[in-house]
Amino acid sequence: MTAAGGFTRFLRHGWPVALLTAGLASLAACGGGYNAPRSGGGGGQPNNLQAVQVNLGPAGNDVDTLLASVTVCLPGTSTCQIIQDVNVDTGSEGLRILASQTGLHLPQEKDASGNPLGNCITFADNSYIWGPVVVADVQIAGEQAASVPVQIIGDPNFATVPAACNTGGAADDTVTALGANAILGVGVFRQDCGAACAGNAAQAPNVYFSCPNSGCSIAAVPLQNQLQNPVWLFPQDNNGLLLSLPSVPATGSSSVSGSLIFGVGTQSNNGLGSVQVYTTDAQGNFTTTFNGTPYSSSFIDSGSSGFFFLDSATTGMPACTGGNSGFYCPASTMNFSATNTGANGASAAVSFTIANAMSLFQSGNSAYSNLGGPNSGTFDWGLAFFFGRQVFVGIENQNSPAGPGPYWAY
Amino acid sequence: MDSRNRSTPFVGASWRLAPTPAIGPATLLPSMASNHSAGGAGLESRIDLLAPGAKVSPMKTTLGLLIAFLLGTLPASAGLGQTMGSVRIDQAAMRGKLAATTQQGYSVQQITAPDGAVVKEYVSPAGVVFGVSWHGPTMPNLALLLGPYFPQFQKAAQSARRRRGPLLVRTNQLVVESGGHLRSFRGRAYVPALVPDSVTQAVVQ
Repeated sequence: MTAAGGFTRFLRHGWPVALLTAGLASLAACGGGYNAPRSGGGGGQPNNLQAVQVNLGPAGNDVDTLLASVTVCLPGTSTCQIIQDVNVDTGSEGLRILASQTGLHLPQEKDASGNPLGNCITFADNSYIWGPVVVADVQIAGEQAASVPVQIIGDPNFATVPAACNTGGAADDTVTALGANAILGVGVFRQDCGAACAGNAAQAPNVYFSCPNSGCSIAAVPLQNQLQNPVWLFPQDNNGLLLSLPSVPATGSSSVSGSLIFGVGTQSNNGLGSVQVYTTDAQGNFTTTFNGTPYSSSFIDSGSSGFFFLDSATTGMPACTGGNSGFYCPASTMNFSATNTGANGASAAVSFTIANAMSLFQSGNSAYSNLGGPNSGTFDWGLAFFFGRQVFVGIENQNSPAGPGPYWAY
Repeated sequence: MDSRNRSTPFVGASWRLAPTPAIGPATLLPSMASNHSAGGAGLESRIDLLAPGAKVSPMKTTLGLLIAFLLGTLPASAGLGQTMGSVRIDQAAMRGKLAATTQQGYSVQQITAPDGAVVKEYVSPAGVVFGVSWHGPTMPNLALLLGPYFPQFQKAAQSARRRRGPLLVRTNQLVVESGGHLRSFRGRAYVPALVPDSVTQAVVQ
């Protein structure tokens, strides 16, 4: 029943979803699948708490990387797969699964002309993700979203990456490159691209591609067919989420366990309490002020590792050398204070500490609350910021006791 | 590599503009610039902690003129180190609107794309693009904006240990700063040796 509703949602807008009917009979028996118990119907509130971990990750060499398991199912069926080691990323939207990590043949999403859709994301380090948009039921803890557009990364059976997507960066299409088996984008927006990709193809950025046999070209895609932050599609606990991680010692921890809790103020475990709410601008940013200078493109991002802020000249800390040049290596630990100000005017100082990254890494630990690196002209409050805090993400246009998102609260 | 896409008009407009092989600025520029960096071994892979405003070469004005001369005879790709005219190539690739402003000692060519992305190209009095900056909902085409310096950037970027965070690349010849998240990216790049003597790299914003 859930599935029928989900497909109707797509078909209502004239965007057919192709079912791989020929393969359905054998899917339950294929390697990646299992028959999951279907939740629901029992009354009471769903389990909204998903355990999360910080460890060296599936690539074995990551730091400050937040991981959870996510279950994906063929839409409307109990043929499902648990994906382990999914990076929980508040700096993006949408579930993106490495092709090598899923045995399910999820149905391809197609455009109005029946051509398969591809999705391209380029990150700030110029690495990129390319692959088809498919449809899955997504389960996390006891929450389920039906017929969610998600991406398969690096699918060898899909169109090769278009030149408008691959501009010379590295492809994040392996566990080693991605540092995870998948990315779960649960940021402040509903979709990964939004209105900019929903207009007309001639003006859309290089995010969605229509891929007939003749080759891929940039496409405009309606909002509901774009990659979705699955949280807002849950039937309940859908206005945001809470990440709760314990403190870690100054030398770091080998592993950390915490909670990803869905909903803001919807159950007894996700009340706002006394946190301050910082609304963001339309781009998902707020202002961080350091030494009297405001930096207006600042943001909170569990998908970044450390505190990435400003530069050596401004902070007085040299960068590390060699392959660690993306981190700060102060001679001794340094204390900083910066003030975050939301679009709503809410404002408060944050104190944090930066240790020598090379010294930290020698411990072999994976979780550090004092890891930092340069990021000229802005603050990226990465996972190091989350330790010892409860950080709420408020999703755009979703009501909550703190008002509608987009916001962060901590 | 990707023959499937060559019939796509927009895609075709940009992929042809990748750094040019064999002849032209793509190969001439970096090797020329290396002549005035002491101990140039391992040039492209070395990451130095050069202060952004450091004046690398007293010869840079001469170098800039020489580059402009070479570019005048070898019209090629867009981006850093290229002529002001090359900005039109970037504009076409971005399907953007172009606006120019003149500042003391340099000019700014600003391209605004339909999705709100903004690229600014900073042009010296000698007519050479010495810096670029960007902000917008998606990453710009850095191969296009960095032009012949893109291979250096690629090499330095690959050596970084971090994933999906901001990126800072400083080689002898090139500085690139890139950060942001989905729907909001920003950054800048400049070639210290091409920054006019009368201004600092800080104008590239």
